[in-house]
Amino acid sequence: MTVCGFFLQGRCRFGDKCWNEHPRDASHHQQQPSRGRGGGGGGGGGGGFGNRVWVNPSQRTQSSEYIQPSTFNKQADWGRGGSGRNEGRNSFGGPSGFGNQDGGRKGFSNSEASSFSFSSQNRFSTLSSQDFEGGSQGDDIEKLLETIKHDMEIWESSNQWPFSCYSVAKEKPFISGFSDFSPEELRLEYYSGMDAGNLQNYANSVQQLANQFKNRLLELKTQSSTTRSSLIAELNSPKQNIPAAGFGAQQTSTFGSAGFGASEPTAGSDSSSSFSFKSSSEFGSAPPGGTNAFGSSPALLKQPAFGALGSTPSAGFGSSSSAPSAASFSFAAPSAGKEQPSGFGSVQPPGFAAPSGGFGSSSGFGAPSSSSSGFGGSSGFGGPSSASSVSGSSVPSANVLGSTSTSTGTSSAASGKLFTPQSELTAEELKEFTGKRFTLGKIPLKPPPVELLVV
Amino acid sequence: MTGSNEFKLNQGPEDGISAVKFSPSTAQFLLVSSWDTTVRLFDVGGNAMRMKYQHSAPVLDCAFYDPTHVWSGGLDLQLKTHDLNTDQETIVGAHDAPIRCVEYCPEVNVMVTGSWDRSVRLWDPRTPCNAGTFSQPEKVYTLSVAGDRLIVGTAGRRVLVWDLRNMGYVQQRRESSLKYQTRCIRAFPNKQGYVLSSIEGRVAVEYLDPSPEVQKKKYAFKCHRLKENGIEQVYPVNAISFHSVHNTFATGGSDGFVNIWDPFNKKRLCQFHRYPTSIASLAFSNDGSTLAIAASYMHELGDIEHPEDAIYIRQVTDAETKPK
Repeated sequence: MTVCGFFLQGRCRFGDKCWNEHPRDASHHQQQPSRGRGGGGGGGGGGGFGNRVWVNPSQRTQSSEYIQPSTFNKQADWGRGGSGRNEGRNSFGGPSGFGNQDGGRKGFSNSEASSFSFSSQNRFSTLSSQDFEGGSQGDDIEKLLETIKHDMEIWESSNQWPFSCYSVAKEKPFISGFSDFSPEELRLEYYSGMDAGNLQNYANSVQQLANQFKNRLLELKTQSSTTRSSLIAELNSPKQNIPAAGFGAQQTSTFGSAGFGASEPTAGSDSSSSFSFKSSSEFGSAPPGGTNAFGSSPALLKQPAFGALGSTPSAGFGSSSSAPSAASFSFAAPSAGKEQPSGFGSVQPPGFAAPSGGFGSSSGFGAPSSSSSGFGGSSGFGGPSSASSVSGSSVPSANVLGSTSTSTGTSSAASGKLFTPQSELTAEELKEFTGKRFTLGKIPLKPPPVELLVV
Repeated sequence: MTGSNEFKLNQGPEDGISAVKFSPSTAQFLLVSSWDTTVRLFDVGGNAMRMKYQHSAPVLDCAFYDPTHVWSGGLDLQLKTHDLNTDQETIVGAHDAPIRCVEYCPEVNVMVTGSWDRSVRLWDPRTPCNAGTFSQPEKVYTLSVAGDRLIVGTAGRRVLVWDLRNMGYVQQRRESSLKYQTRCIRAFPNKQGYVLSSIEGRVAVEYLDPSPEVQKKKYAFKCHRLKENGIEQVYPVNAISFHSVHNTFATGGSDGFVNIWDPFNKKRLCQFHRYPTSIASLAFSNDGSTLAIAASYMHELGDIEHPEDAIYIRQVTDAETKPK
């Protein structure tokens, strides 16, 4: 059959009834329609590619031309919008750093922009930064490190308040090593020093803090390879707590919620803070659920979920970071102590199945989850009673955990004892083990002795 | 130095000023809390001190519950309320660490206090008694009330938004969009958002609505920075206060300047003359006619010789505060 010339021009009056052939792909015109289609819903999609009857070439070219300007405008709007937003910020004199970065990322990660991506790629180089953002994680880190260096220089030279936490970008954890104090707190120390007649003490502690700050600043400014690698690990790891700091007031992070956590701050805070710091880097470096003793499931890597080892962020428990570790510790306890520190590593929501590798007995964990449903992951701690058991054991557990964490971060080294010999147990612990049930607040932290186990 | 629209209050506190607040009903009365452990009530019109009461330690914040009752708290850990008519004081309760902020929420009729013991406590002003303790992730540095919501700024650059009618959980957990320590947060009078300032001479305007289109509107800008000898000196922005009518806000920093900003057009409306020392606190009166400026050295550089701490009362005009 002959190919219908009118159809090719888009003006065949017979349509399907035409005796000539209407070839399916009008490949001659593919440039324009695809652009039109790439131009998105607007513009009627190239005048209706499937509409063979009514679209005539003049119309079609017109429509695609029509589309072209609209897509052009839209895309230019992204560019303008992006820079427009930047300009908006610049109206206060100078780029606003953070704000710019945000605007840039947000503008370009807009879903509409992504639908333009392949057509826009060639034309609008500004939008090609979208690829840049998506692609190179490594470069991002480089940029961040540069920003850190730059910020440190400014911090030093500008006589800025030194006792402040610092974070280089949104959604990144803040850089460790900076302690957070407000001027009022320092003034309080000064006044109490004056009252006590002991200003020297105050001066010393301020000096100490200032030195700490200076050192950390210097470290970050002249980034040696060790600082770089630790920074990169930090930046990649999920959010973490503020490091503990001087003035005798430890700062482990707690989570806001009704009622629970207010009394916890000093409980073993030293170890817990070092613990939390270490653990976050552990989280960063170890794959989730990996061989690490801290191999919690990915959901637990986020800081709010940290407190949610057994509780949802919304219910919150306001516990200091020692508490979740204590909580999982008490998991270990009621399960008749099949595992010890590895119990911590095995917190996985679905019924607390197998911990990392060589600690056997996943069934042991099935037990507590059924017995005290509160421990079963997201439903909170099953009520205040179990929560108090957490708090009861938090002090000793923090120390124990602190020691295990600082000494060993890995499962293999974690003391690996399944049972404690009876000689090592205190009288109280022995009483607990021999009793029918554990009493809240007195749940032993060591595994039970072999002799008492009734299988 | 001071124009005819501005004067200094007599009988001011003898030590640093921590907060100034106008009475909710009138621009006549100003409450001032200070590091000299007193809370003073001033008659602004007559430039005289009307009343004074003591705490046992420096007072960090004060607030009006209604025109005749004031609440204050500070380093002595106690929260006190004082009846201005009868000059009677009552100890309402305490925190475990110094009380940093005291605010009143008229919509829910509750007093809110934030403290360095990482908790926010609510107090029923009528009885008065404790209505709840809510722990925060970090020490509370600042808080502000927006309608029935509470915005808390803590150490570690965290910002939490609570619904005062339902304090069982945090409504929003956010991170400050500034890189450094939060210094002050104030909510817009139209309750759409809040302004956050940091120690790094930067102010961010953020919105409460978590939807992305609204969140896109947020921005930050640099301010309160001075170039001395070619090096830019960065000063913390200690105080923010909103003009209740125009929704513009004033910021005060440790550089001694007060700026008035228009957040919608993103422009600075006005900058006042430089005050002798850091601005510790700012307060617009309810009708927006008067601005109280507490210029008081904040010990950022330790204990050095500093100009006397004073409170300046300035009559502000529409030209200075109204968006153009």
